[in-house]
Amino acid sequence: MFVIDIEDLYFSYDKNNWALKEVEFKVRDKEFVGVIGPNGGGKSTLLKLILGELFPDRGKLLVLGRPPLEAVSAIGYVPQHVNFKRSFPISVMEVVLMGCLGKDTKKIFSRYTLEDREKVKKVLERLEIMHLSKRAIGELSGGQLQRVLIARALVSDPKLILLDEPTASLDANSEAGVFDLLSELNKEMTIVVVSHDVAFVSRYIGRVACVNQRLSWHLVSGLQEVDLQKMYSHSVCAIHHDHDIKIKSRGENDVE
Amino acid sequence: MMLSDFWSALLSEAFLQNAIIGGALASFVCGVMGPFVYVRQIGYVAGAIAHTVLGGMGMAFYFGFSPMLGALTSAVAAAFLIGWVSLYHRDREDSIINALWAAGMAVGIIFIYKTPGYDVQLLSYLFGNILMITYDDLKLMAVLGVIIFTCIMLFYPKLLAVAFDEEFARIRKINVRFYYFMLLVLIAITTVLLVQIVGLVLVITLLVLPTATAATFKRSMVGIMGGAVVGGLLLTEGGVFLSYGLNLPSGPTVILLCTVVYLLAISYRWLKS
Repeated sequence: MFVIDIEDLYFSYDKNNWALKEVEFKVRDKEFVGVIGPNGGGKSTLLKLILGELFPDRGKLLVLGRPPLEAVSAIGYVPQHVNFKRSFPISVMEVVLMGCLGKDTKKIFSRYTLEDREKVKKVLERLEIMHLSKRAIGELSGGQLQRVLIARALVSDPKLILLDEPTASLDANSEAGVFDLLSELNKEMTIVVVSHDVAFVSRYIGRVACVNQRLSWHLVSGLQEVDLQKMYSHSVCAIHHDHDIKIKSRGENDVE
Repeated sequence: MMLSDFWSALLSEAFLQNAIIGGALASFVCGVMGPFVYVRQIGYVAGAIAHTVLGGMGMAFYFGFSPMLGALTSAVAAAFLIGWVSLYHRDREDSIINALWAAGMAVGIIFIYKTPGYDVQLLSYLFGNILMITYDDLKLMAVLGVIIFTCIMLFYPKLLAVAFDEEFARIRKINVRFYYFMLLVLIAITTVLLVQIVGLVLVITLLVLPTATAATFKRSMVGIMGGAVVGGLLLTEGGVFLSYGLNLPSGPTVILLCTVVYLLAISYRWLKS
């Protein structure tokens, strides 16, 4: 069984242009997969489909063998930082507790239980951010905040973690820290990382899916400039490093 | 006037006791609701709802039913209308809110104008008079206050999750729209509660300023709530004391006190950094 099983999927926002077409995206258990592509190429759309926020027009879409809406409690989602305000008066503990919401949709009132709090403490300890639990999120560094968001995704014991641009606002050091953590988690769960930039991928990631309306797979080691140019449809410069490849499209902003 | 004079007046005068209890109830409710208005930045929504309250009250006077009932009905109706517009017609939200703001007030003034003998009370509903709160008002305020507090207590984690990160909440199957409407209705109830105290023109201030003051010192929702409740209590009771002692209108006195303290707080913060 595939953790994500997408076959011949079509999706459009306005019925005239396919945002995604003929997409085949199959991810096996405990794989660590990257999804890259130009802005507007359909990465976020693919993510929203997997999370059950959007529905395909055609094709097969199963997550953990179920339709996405039935699988959400087993998916850990780590959004981009831009989804919320850093000045929001909320503590690390409160943010991570949110990961406990939605387990039981029949429960109308939503007080957190002692069990929830214990679970959160365990995850915070594992991610080595227990000492931050009472801090406001506005006081954290980028790397610390990313760990908090990963902790929130982990408290519901997910089988699959989806991360949207997890290193967009991080310095190289914290970026490496986040990816070390992910490769550690990868022993227990499947990980899909969406990014417009593959600077990080090669050391940890086995396969990369390039999304630009269609989806094509590449092995990281074989990812060539030619493939990238085809996908980005204008010239790109790929910088080969010892253990990673950095791609920047010309004239494209780093921030999506 | 000395504090001891105020104290002896407080022991003998029922209207002063009512004012003190009313001020405490209002501070409590504002302190609990204010942080949600603050983090969602919807002070203008509270303002629009407050102004439609006048329309409801005006009609209630004219047709001879309870003004509180009129206020509650119009505030809740406005909350639903604004919620619907801001969820489904975001591009018109600003216009609709301004229209409701102005029209609510206009309707109220026309009906009050056409109701004999009520033109004097108009000013007190616009600017409030805490010294005129009756025992029945207090009972109603207490009931509404309990409703608000219970709702916040029961739904706090979800209300917070929706306010903080709507997308994450939606993915976790939390009905984001339902909780947005719930928040607006709670705001509507709060504004009705506050009309008596500071008047509807100044409702926004009491809902926003004690919270904003607390938020300059506290970095958590619960901390801000606590700070806003205690701060609001001191400010409203201080306002009652000043307005009684110096023979000033109570609503504007409370508001000016809130504003001065808020300005001092942000200046202190600014100087410190």
